[in-house]
Amino acid sequence: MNLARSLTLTHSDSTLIARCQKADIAAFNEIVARYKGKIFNYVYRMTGSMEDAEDLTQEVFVRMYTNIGSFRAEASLSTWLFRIAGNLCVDAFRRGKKERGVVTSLDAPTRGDDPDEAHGTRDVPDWSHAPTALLSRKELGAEIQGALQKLPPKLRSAVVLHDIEGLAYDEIAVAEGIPLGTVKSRIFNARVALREHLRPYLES
Amino acid sequence: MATMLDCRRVQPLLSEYVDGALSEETAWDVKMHVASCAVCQRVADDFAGTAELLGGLAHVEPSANFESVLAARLADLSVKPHRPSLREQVSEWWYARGSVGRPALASAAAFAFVVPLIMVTLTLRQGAVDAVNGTAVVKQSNAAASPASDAEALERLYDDHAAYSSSLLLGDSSAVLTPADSRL
Repeated sequence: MNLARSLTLTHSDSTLIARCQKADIAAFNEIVARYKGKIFNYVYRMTGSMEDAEDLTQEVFVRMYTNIGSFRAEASLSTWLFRIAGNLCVDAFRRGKKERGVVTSLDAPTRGDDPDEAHGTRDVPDWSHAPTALLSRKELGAEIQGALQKLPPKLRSAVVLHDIEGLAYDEIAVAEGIPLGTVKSRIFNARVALREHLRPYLES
Repeated sequence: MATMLDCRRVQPLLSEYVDGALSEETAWDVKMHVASCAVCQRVADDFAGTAELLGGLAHVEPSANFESVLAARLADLSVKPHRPSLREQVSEWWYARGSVGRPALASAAAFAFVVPLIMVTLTLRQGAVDAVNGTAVVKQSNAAASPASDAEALERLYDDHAAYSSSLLLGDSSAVLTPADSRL
């Protein structure tokens, strides 16, 4: 049993994809188990909403399932999934603008099931002058998420992929479909903005 | 060969510098400048600090029933592509009614058949009159020629819709990945 489990865990992405392309549902489930956390975390940091993140992450895997036949082996599976997720976030932001007529996309009021508690840009108490030492981990998390929400989505995506998801610059270039230089400038600009928003927590 | 860089040239490189993404030589040049410039040192520290704050965020996980909800969505998806034929649908519906409702349904079906038949007949007669009057109404009479052509038109609409949905699904991923990949 343990041997079987360890063998399963060592399946490479390419093996799983090949099996998935032959309608092997076990392989698909393994891909989901492997990447759902990363994709969910990325989408959550992009949208700031657990509910939207749940729904959009579901959609990422539905699209992966329906389009697995067109996946090319030279691309990394995680990069492909991040790309689908990014596109879905952009679509959701556009829908949010249309429906609400606001520019803040999915920066919606926060929900009670939020791991960072009351983060966001609207319903958040102003902690900007509180020293980091006085903030709980959750409160600091809420402040950082609030700062992320203030970034334009393109900058947010680049810096989340790099600093939170751990993608290298070239992987982000592939995931976003942009030149390497653009990745560098987006991360630079994101950090310039975050430096302003998070200054109290950088100084202490 | 290290050269002294000024702040204007160093600061755009500081984000890559803290990520260790510069070439060895450029990184050395930036390091030399930062060691002697409090302002650039501060910016570099702040950039590193923002990366550290983001990297320290709690990792959030999807709900416990994520897989079961996904399985349900995929099950729905796999059912949709199978479209029972009109005959299958009628047959299933007919036998699902049971023997009690059949006479009434048979009457309704007969009525439903007779009305289109009358309409088609009238249309054809009107077409004949128009033809006599020198007016070509071929398209109109063809469109209403028979219920079978309506069913075919519906089939075509369904297929068009399915193809459109499929192209939407396919439009966002691997096709665009390849050129970006080749650039790197």
